[in-house]
Amino acid sequence: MTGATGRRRGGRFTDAGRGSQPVELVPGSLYAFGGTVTMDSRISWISPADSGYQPLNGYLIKEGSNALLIDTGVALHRKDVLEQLSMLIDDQTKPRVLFTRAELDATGNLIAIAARFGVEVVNAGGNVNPFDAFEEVGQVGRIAASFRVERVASGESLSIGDGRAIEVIRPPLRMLNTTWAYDPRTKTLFTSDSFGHTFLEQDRYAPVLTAERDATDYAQVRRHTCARYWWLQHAVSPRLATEMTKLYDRYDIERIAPTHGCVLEGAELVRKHQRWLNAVLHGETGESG
Amino acid sequence: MSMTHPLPDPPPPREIAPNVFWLGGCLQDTLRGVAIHNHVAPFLIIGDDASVLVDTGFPSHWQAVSEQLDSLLDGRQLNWLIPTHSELPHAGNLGRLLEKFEEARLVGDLADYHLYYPESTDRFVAWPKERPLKLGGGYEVLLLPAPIRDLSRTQWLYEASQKVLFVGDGFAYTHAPADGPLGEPGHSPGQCRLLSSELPKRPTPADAVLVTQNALAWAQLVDAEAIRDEVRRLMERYEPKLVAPGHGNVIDEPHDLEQVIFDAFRIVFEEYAGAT
Repeated sequence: MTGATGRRRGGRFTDAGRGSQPVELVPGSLYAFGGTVTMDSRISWISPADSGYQPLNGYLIKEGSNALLIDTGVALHRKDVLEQLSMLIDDQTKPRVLFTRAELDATGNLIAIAARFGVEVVNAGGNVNPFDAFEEVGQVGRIAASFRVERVASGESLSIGDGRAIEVIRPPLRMLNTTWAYDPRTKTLFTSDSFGHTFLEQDRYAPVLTAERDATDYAQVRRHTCARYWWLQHAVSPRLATEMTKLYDRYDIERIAPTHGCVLEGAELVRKHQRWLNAVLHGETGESG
Repeated sequence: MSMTHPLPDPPPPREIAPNVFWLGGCLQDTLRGVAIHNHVAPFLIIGDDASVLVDTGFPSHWQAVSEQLDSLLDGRQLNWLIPTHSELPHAGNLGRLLEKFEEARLVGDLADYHLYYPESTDRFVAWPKERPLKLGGGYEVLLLPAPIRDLSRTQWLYEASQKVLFVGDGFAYTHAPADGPLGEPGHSPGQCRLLSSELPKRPTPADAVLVTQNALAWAQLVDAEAIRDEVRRLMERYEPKLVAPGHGNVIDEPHDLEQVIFDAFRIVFEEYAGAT
C-alpha cells in the first residue's frame, strides 16, 4: 500500500514539505509544526507492513496576540520545532499549551518551549488522574519547568482569548487518558493518536492530504489503527463505534488534525476516513471496510 | 474531583527476595470520592556482575528514588535500565537516570525511545524476548511479552533465580491509606511495603477496579478472558513466587490475585456493557 502521493492539483499546500518551516493550515489562524520520522519497527504505533515517512505534529492556534499550542512534538524534532514556533510567536506572547496525552510524543518539547517562550499555563483534559501523570510533565528533564497545570473537563470550552475558544472532548477511542479538541472557527478536530494511519512516500511532501492527494485504502487504516490499539484484535464492544459516530455528529468537521500522520483536509476526506475508522472499530476485515 | 499527592517520604526499600529490591513510593489520591494509595514502583536487581532497574519511578519521586539507588548500590554502577514501557509513571525518570549513571544502558524493546531521547541512542541495546540477560551470581532476566498492558510494545520481565515476575501495569490494585477509605480502618505508614498476604485486608476486586478503569481504558471494551488465558500460560510456564506490579503491593499469592484482577476486568467490562 502507499502513502500520500506527490500529486498536486492546486490549493494552497505545496509539495515542498515543511523542513524547518511551519505549515499554514488556515491563514493567520492555524498552523502545524513538527517534522517527519522514518517509518520502521522502532515506532510502536505504526504497522511494519508500510515504509515511508510519518509526520509528527503539534498545532498552533493564533488569535490576535494569543497563542495556544496543542501538543509540542517529539524531542527528535526539537530544533525544528523551536525554529518553526519562533517564526509564528513573538517575544511578547506566552503561549498556553493543551496536551492531548501525557506521552512523550505529545509533551517532548514542553520544557524547551517553556524556556524559550515562557509558558505559564499547561492544560490537560479531565480531572486529576493519578494514572495519566499530566501533573508530572514538567518534571522529566534535567531542569524541571515551573508552570500551572489546569484541568479542563470534557465538554467545557478552553478560551484562547479575544473571544475565541475551543471545546475539549474526551474521545471514546483512547489508549491512555486522552483529550481531543474542536476549534469551531476553523472547523478542525484535533484527534491526538487517532487517525494516525497516514504517511508520506517522500519526506519532502507536505503533511497535508486532500481528497485529490489521498492514496490511503481501508487496509492501511486497519493496519495502523490496530498497531496502536492492539486490543482491537479482540472482539470490541459495538458501543465504541456508536459513540464515535455520535461524537462526529456533534461537530461540523472540515479538517482532522492528528498528532501522528497527515492532516486530513476537507469535509469529504474527513467523512471517508471517519467511515473507515468506524469500520475498523466494528472489526471489519475486508479490503474496502 | 480527585487529587494526587506524591507522599512526601516514601518508605525505605524492601528486599522482597535476595538482592531484589522494591523502591519508589505511593501517591495518595481521591478517586470518585474514595481515598486510595497507589504505588508507583521501580525494582532493583543486583547480581554479582551487573544490576538492573525495572521501571524508573514517578517523576515526583525522583529525589527519593535517587537516594534509594545510592544507598542500595553503595558505589556500584547501575548497568541496565528496563522500563516496562515509555509511559511517564514507568519511564519518566529515564533521562535523569541516564545522566546520573553514565555507564547505564537502556535495554530491551526500544520502541519510540529514539524519538524521545535522541541524544542517548548510543546507549540503547535492543534485546530480544526470552534471551537471558545475565547479571552474575545466577541472576538472569528474561524479557517477556506483556499480556496486560496499555502501550502495545510493553514488556514484562522475569528474574529466573528468585522467580519474580515484573508486570508493569498488570496485576494493578490500590490499597487503603492511613486514614482509611469510607470509614474503614486504615494502615500505618510502613504498610505501603507489605506483601499482599501481609495487608490487614486482602485485596478485593474493588481494589483493582479503580486502577483498571483509569489506567486501562480498553478494559471496558474488551472481554479479557482471552488475555487471562495468556496470563495463565505465562504463569504456568514460569511459576513465579512473587509478582511485582508497578501499581500495587508486591504479590506473594499470585494465583489468588490473578483471580482478583480478572474479576475486576469482568466488573469493568460488564458495567460498560450494562450502561448501553
